[in-house]
Amino acid sequence: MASRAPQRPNNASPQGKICQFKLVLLGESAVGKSSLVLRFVKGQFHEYQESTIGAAFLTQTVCLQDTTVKFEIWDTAGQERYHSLAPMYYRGAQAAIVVYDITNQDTFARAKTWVKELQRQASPNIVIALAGNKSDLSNKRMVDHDEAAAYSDENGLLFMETSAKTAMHVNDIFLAIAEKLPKNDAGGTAANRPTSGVDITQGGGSNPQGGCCGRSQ
Amino acid sequence: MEDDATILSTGHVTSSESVDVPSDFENLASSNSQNSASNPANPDIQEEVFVSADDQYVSDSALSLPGPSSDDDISFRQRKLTMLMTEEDESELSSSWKEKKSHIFVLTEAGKPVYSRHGCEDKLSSLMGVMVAIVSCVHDRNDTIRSIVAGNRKFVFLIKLPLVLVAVSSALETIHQIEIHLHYVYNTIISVVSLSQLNRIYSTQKNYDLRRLLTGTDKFLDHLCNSMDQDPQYLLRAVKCLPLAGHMRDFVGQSLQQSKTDDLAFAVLVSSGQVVSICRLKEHNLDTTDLQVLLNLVNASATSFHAGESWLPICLAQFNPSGFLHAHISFLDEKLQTCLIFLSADRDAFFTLCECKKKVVAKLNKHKCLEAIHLAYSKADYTVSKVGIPELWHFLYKTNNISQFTCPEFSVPYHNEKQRQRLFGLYQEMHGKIHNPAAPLKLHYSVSDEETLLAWVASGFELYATFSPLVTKNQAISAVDRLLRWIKHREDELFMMRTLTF
Repeated sequence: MASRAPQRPNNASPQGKICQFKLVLLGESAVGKSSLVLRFVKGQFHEYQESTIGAAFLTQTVCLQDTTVKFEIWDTAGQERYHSLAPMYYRGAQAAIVVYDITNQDTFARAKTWVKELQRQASPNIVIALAGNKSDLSNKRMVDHDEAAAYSDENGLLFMETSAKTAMHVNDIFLAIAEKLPKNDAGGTAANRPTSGVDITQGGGSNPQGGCCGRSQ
Repeated sequence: MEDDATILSTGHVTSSESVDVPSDFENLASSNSQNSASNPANPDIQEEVFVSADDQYVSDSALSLPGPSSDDDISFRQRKLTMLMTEEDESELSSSWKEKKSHIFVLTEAGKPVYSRHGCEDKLSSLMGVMVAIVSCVHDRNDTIRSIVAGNRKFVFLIKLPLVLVAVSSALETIHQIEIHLHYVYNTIISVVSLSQLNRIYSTQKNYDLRRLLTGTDKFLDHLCNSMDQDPQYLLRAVKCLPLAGHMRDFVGQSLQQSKTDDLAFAVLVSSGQVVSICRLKEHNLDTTDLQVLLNLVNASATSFHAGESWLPICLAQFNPSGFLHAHISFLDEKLQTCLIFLSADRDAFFTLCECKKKVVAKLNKHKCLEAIHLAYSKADYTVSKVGIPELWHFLYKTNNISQFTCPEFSVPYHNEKQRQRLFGLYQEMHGKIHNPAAPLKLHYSVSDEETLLAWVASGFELYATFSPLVTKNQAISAVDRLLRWIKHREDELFMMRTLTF
């Protein structure tokens, strides 16, 4: 099922442009963010992918016609305790993939709140893609494809249903993002690294979401 | 409330007694009612009172808190019967669950389950309610419960409000040793949430379900609990270093020094769970328990840190319980054995540390350190035969000033799991006797049918050794002399004698 994969790390053609973009993956825990990244970066899939702790940083390069796009990928952990750290990763990001699990309606709701948060707080021209992952489990589907597609249209998101397991649409979604990103204005370089995140060393004062405390049961 | 009876009653070896109310128990009943009149008759509660005072009663009276405690005998017996009956229906608390040697529970002050080593903590919430009731029962008398001994079972409490940690153990560990285990569990939880965050949450929401913040942390706690049952590092509160030629370790240390940047507090190189070298800021020490929490984090994650470079907040309780350090964790080799950890106070330092990592790796490669580390690892541990003392079977040696230890790999007669566990139990027992807070010993020598044991605490070291049972005391002492000389001779290889500073 491996979709066309011309985008294994390849040598940048000397005459082409090289662009570097920061991309962040967000979504509820266990929807498959790390699996998508691992499939994209290393072409691997582990049935029992351990949960991410904090965030993992990986890079992958794809080629588009005359441009080489280098993705700097932040694969964030989905757990609630890391929510307050998310701004540190999406601030200055040129692209985001918000992931949900098509077999779990709650993760779709969570994905929508991530999209809202990005629209409100991330850089205004960030490219957001919505990925409905685990499409290989369509017999257990709980999130309607058309519903997610309509939502994406309304919000100007790229949308694909992906499967890290079968590799379906995994490379495509990254490629689609790469195509949509502007390549002329010295596209995202190190200048856009996280600068002002949330200071977790300072205790509660600076926690905009109250993410770690939440509401009592 | 039906599970209340189960674990507590397992403390009752002779369950036939459980129908009759022991007399101590009546005492407790009366002292309880006095207490509810806020007139503590005897604030200095003996642990044994609790024990022999049928633990079910404790739960019973405590359950009726905060209302006036009822010592109505009939209603009590009825309730108790109900407990015993429903106990059988409770599938979660199966006999295999009860037979586990060592249980560890974490709950909040309000009795909300946070973690249980065995079984699902969700289904244990009423049991945890009993625990918290016992705690508050004693607390009401201006006292703090520390432990209950019931037969061969020990119930140990560590109260770190808003958390309450409880261990139930039928192993050979002493209460003091179990307390230390609970401290490790506590520190691991703090490493995830930090003390200040914990206090902040519970100052406003007494009912908060901490598991929401700890999602995914179970594997670290499980790994820690399992290790504490077999790894001497927690018993000795010391870490084990990868045996490596002294000059090579110096090269590694110098390579780590290359990473010096602002706000970088520590750089640690670990290979297969063993420390290779550490570099630190001059003014800060990396405490052993903090280092152990960090090592447990890396060792418990089979693959979490394998993809790319990880960046996560971690609170090291000894370093600063109210703030987070930021850990940059990456593996340096294809085999995913050698792991480099940077701990920085700057949460934005990730990319700076990526550059530092490159410098460190370049220097490590220049001196072929990674190859040397792999080689050292593949040679694995040394066997006790290398020491050249035939009657010596195994030993643990800890240097006190640098909190590191060394031990040979297990060999005959400790070559199978059962024997290894037995040996570990013997070490726990010896350690417990030597470090008995009431009567600490310097030297302990005992002979059994199976082996001769010697424990010796001197100013600079602790040694626990097992010999063949036929060895005489003089032979053992001279063997220890030779062993100490052997270790001294290899000090540079077995231990990290110097930690460099940035």
